[in-house]
Amino acid sequence: MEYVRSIWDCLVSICSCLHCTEDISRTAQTETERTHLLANDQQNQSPALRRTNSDLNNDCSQSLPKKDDQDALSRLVQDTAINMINVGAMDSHHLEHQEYTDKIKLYTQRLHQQWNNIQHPGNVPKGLLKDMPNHQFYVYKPVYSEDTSQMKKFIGKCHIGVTDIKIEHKEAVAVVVPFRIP
Amino acid sequence: METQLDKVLTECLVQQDTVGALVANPQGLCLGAKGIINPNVSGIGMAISEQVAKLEPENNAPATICLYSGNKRCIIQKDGEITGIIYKHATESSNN
Amino acid sequence: MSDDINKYFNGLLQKVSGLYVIQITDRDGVPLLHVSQEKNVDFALMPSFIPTFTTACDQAGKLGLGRNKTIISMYSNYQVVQMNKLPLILTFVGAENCNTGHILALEHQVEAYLENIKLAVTEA
Repeated sequence: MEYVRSIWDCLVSICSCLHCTEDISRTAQTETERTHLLANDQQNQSPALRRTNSDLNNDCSQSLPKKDDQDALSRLVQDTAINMINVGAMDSHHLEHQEYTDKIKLYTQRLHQQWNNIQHPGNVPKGLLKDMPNHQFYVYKPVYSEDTSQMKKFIGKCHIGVTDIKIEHKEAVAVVVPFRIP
Repeated sequence: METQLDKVLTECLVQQDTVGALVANPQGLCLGAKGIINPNVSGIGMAISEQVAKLEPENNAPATICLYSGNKRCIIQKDGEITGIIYKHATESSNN
Repeated sequence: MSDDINKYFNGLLQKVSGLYVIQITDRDGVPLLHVSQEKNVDFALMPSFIPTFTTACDQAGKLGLGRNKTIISMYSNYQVVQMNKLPLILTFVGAENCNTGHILALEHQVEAYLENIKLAVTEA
């Protein structure tokens, strides 16, 4: 029974994740920045997930000896964990002070090294109209009265338009993932 | 919700030479844009109008700024809470 | 040398009125570059500040709206704009009434510099 329930839990989470419009290639692309949440250890997972995971493993060893199925299942669990919004993982990753200062030193050193071999971007001519071949042409441009009057009317109407902006209550968009934290 | 503002932007676009129109809020974020105009210019447009307003701090009337480039011109005005930006084609008459 | 890059980012800081801090860090919050106005904004230097953003960014990416790129946080005295430029995190701290649109527009301008700074983090 416990096994069926854990599978059911997985399916529910997967279904709620089906609203994700991201395709598989995107998931694979962003995997590197997400997988670290799992890679650390099981501590990062929410208790609910941890339980599901271990339950699954135990049950699998008895009732599902096939390795393929087991792999598929663990992949399912992992995918679900990656796609689940895990508030429990929010404050899990902190650097040690020593590591922090070491990294600062390393980065400063590398930046110094690199900056000598790099073509500096953004060396554009500085100053007003310096990048203009024919600036005389623009200096004598008049300001057209139709432009100012058009802008005046536009702004006037916008003021009314902006006050008209209201939130229209519609049915909740189904992006809410149920939190199953006991 | 924002249909009224949409209407104002569409109305603005039908006027002669106008190619794009945009409205920004006091944070420089785009409330609405129609036509050929990048919504990301809302912040810079507002920053320009704020700088221009510093030229005459005594004068409370909103300044209208016209910027000319090769084939277009850009008109900016910040009046109170909102900033409007309009892109227009350079007309034949304005090229002379 | 890196004076050049500091000068560039200081210039950006002057361009946006009400902007106090620009900081580039790695995803753990280890600073690579930090420029600030004389105003003291200590909380942006707190070691937990950036990793919290990184995690929030990761989690927000799961809402089904695509990868999370920017988080804007408005506080009573400050606003914080953080951009996900992995492996770098770009943090802007400004006054609460600072031009948010202008800060967002800086993203495009700093892109070329970020490519160079990225090398320092990725080169393992």
